[in-house]
Amino acid sequence: MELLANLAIGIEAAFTPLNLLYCLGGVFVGTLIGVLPGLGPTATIAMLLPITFGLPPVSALIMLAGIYYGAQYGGSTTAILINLPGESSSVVTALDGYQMARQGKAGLALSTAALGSFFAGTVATLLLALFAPPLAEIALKFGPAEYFSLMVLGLVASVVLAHGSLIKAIAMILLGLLLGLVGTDVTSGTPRFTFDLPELADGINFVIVAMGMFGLGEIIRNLEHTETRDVFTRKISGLLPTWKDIKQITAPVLRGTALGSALGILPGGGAMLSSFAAYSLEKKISKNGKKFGKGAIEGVAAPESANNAGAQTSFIPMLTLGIPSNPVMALMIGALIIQGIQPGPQVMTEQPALFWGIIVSMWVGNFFLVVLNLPMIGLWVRMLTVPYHLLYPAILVFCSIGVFSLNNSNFDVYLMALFGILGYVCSKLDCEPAPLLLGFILGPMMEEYLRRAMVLSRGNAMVFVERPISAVMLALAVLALIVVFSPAIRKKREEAFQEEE
Amino acid sequence: MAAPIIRNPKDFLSGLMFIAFGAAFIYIAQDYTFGSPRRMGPAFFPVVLAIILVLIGLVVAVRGLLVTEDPPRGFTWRGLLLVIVSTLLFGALVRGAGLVVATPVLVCISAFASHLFKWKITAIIAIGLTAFCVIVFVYALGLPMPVIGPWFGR
Amino acid sequence: MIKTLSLMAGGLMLLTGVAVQAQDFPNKPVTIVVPFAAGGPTDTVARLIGQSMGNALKQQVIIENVGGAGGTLGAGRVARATNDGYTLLLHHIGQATSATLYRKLPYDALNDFAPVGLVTDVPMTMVAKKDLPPKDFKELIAYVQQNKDKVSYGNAGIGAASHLCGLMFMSAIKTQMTTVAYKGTGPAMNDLLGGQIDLMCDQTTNTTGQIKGGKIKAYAVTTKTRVPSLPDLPTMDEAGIKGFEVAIWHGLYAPKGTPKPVVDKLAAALQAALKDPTVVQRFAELGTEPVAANRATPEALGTHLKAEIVKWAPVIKAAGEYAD
Repeated sequence: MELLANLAIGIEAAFTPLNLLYCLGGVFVGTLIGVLPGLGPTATIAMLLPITFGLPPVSALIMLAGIYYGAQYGGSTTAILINLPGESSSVVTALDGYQMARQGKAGLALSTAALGSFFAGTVATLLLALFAPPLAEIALKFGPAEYFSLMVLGLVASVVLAHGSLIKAIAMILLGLLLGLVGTDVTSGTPRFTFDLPELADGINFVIVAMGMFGLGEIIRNLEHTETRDVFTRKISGLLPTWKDIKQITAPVLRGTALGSALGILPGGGAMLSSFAAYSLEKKISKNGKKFGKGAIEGVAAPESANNAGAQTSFIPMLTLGIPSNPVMALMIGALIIQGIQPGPQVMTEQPALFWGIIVSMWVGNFFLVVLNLPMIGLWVRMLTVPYHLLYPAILVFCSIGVFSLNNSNFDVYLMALFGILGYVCSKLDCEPAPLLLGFILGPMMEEYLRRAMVLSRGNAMVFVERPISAVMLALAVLALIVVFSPAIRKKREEAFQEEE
Repeated sequence: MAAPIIRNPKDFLSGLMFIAFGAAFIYIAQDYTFGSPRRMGPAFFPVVLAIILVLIGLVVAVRGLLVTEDPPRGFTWRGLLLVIVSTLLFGALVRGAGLVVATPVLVCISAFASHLFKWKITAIIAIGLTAFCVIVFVYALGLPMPVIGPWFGR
Repeated sequence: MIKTLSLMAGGLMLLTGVAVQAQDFPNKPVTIVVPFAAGGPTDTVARLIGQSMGNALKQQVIIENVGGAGGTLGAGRVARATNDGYTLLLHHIGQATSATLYRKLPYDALNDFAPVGLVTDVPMTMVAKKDLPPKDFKELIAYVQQNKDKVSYGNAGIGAASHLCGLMFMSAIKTQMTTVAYKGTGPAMNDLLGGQIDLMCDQTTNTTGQIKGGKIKAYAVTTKTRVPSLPDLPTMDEAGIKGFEVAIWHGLYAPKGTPKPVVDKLAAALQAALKDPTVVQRFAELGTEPVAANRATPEALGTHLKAEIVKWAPVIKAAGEYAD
C-alpha cells in the first residue's frame, strides 16, 4: 500500500503539464544529440546545466534524466544506421543492427530496439519503485574483489562476441585492455605509454577509439568496392516487427531486461557490462546463434533491452546513496547540489515528491521516446537510400566534430585518424574491433580493482575466492570458459578417439 | 607450384601485429616500477597482459604457417590515405581557420576517395554541411568552436 | 637609427592598440577555460560566476572545458593564449600544487599568469566509515598512530585535494596509513559507505548529505572556522592539530602581460559577480561562500598563490610523490 501512496506522490509530481513538457523536451534533445555521433549526453547535460538553475528541482532533474536516456536511445540509432556506436552501451547493437540495415532491415532493427527498450524501461522503473533501497544495500556489498571478479566474468563471456576466430578475439581483448591503460596510473601518478604527450595523460577517450575503429574503419572498407554496388540494399522490408518477429524477440528481451536491471545497480562498470553480457548470453542460448553478427534480430533486441534497463537502474545508487555510477550521474548530482539538495540517503524521505516524481517521469519519458521515434523510423531509413558516396563525407564530418568537441582538442582528431588506420588494418586481417572495445573500457577498471583488492587484503590473493560473491563470479567465469571452449575440446576428443580405433 | 611458406597471410600478419604491440608495451613498461603483488607498480598489470598477448600472437602467427586460407583482398590505399589525410587536415584547420574552412576541406578530399566522385554535387554537399554544422553545433548547441578562425583576423 | 625608430613606432602602435583594446574591452565574448571536465565542482563554480560576470561586462562569457593531466593542460593553454583578456583560466588549489607535483610543467604557474582574483574557498571534512571505533578526532589520531598502515585512507589520485589533505594529516601526526587511490571521490565514497576503506577527506559538497544521513562518521573540518551547515563539527585546529588548514580555493587568472586596465575591469566584474545574490545563494547551497571583496583582487590572489606554493612544496616533496 505504501508503494501505491508513493507512486501517487510521484504521479502528482510528474504529471503536471509543465513537467510533462520538460520531460518531452529532455527526451527530444537527448535523441537529437544521441543521433549526432560523438556529441554525448555528458557534454550536453553540462551545457544545459545552467538553464536548470531557474527551474524547480523536480523539473530540472526530469529534463536531465530525459536527455540521458534519450541520448542512449539516439546512440543506438546511429549504431544501427551507420555503424557508429556513440556510447559504450551501443557497441554491441552495432554488430547485428548494422548488418540488418545493410540487408534493408534498418526499420525492423530500429523498431525492435525501440520496443525492447520501452519494455525494459518499464520493468526497470517498476523495480526501481519496488526495491530501490534494498538493492542499493546489495550494491554496497561489492568491494574491489567482487568487482574484479565481475570484470573477469564479463571478459570471459565477451569472447563469445567474436564470430570468427576465438583466439584472435582473446588477443583483441588483451590489446584493448592494454590500450585502455594508456594514461596516468591512478595509484602512483606515473603517466604510462603516453610518449610524454600531455594530451594522453588522462588516457584515450572511448569515443575516439569507437569513432576511429568503427566509423573510419568501416568507411575505408566500404571504399574498396570499385563497382557501383551500394553498401545498403535499396530493397526495404517492413518497418515494424511482424507477429513472427515479436515471438522471436520476446525471450531475448526478457532475458536482456533481467540481466540489465541486475548489472545496472552496480556502480563502476555494471551498466556498461550489461549490453555485452546480454549479447553473449543470447548468442549462447539462442537456436539462431550462428546468425549472430550477420544480422540476427535477437542480437539487437537483447542488448538494447539490457542497456536501457541498466541505464534505468543505474539511478538506484544515485538516488538512494548519492553515489554517481557514471559521469552523467555525477552531473545529475551536481544539478541536485545546485538546487540546494544534498544527494544522499535522506533524499528519499525528505524529498518524496522529487524521488518518486523522477521515477514516474522515467516511465513517461520512455513512453515519449517510443511515440516520438516510431514515426521517425521511416525518415531514418530513407536516409540510407542516399547513395553511400554522398553519405560518408557527412559521417566523417560528424565524427570529427564530435571528437574535437570532447576536449576542444585537435589532438583527439589526429588520434581518431590513427585508430581509423588500426580499425581498417584489423578488419583486413579478420580481427574484430568489438572485443577490443570491451577490453578498452574494462582495462583500467580491472587494473584498479585488482590493485585495490590486493592493497586492502595486504597482498593475499585468496581474497578473490574467500569472499562468497567474488568466488561465485569466478566459478561462473570458469564455467563460461568451459562452455566456450567445449566444442573445440569435443572435436579434439573425437579426433583422439578416432586415432585410438 | 610448391605450397607457400605463409599459407594464411591474415593469421600470420595478425600474429605479427599482436607480437609487435605486446613487445612495444613490454619495452615501454621497462621504465615503470614493477612492484609486488601486494603493492603492484604501474608496470605490473600491463606487462603481464602484454606477455600473454605476445604468446597468443606467436600461436596465431604459427597457425598462419600451417592452415591455408585466402589472403586479404581489395586493400584500398587510395581510400585509406584520403580518408586519413582529410581527417588530419580537419584537425589541423578547425582551431585556426575555423569550421567554414575545415568542413569543406574534409568533405572534398574524403569524397575524392570514391570513384563516383563528382565536383558539382560534392561542392553542394560541402556548402550544405558547413551551413548545417555552423547552425546546429555552434549556434544552437553553443559548442566553443570558431566559425571563422583567428587566422583570418577577427 | 631607423631600426630604433621603427621599433619605437611599433611599440607606440602596440601601446595605443592596447589602450584602445582596454577601453572598449570587452567587445566580443570572453572565454573562461576550466581545466576539468564539465559538471565537476570547479566547472560549477565557473559557470555560476561566468554568467554573473557576463552581466557585469555586458558580454557573453563562454565556459570552455579543457580537461586533462590534473588541470595542467587547460592551464597551459591559457598561459600560451593571446594576453588580451578574452581568454581566462579558472583553477583551484591545483594551480599551486602542480608547480611541485609536476616536475616538467610547460609553464610557470606563478609567473606566466596575471592573477585576477580569488573566488571561493570550499572546506573539506575528515570522514570515516560508520563503524570505525574512535569517538572523536583526538581518539582518531591515537587510533591511526596505533594501527598505522592497517588503517586505509581513500583519495582521488595524486594531486587531488583529498590526496593533499591526507598528506598534510599524515605529516602532522607523523604516521603513514595505507592509501588507496580512486578516480574521483565518488567511487571512494562508495567504498567508504560499504566499509571497504576506513578514512577519507573530502569537500563538504560531497560529504554533508552522507553525514546528515548517518551513513558515515565525521571527525573534523579542515578550515580555520567551523562550517555553518555542520555547526557541531570541530575544526582540525581546535580538535588537536594546531594550524591545520586545507581548503579548495579557486582563483581566476589571465595570461601574463594582459594590460592592467583589462585585468582591473575583469576584477571589478568578478567582485560584482561575487556580490550577486543568486551567486551568493548558490554558493551557500554548495557549502561555501564567495571570498570577501578585498580578496577578489589581483594582489590578493598573487600573494595567496605564492604562499600556497611555498606551503605545499615541502609536504609533496617529503611524500616523494609526483605526478610525472
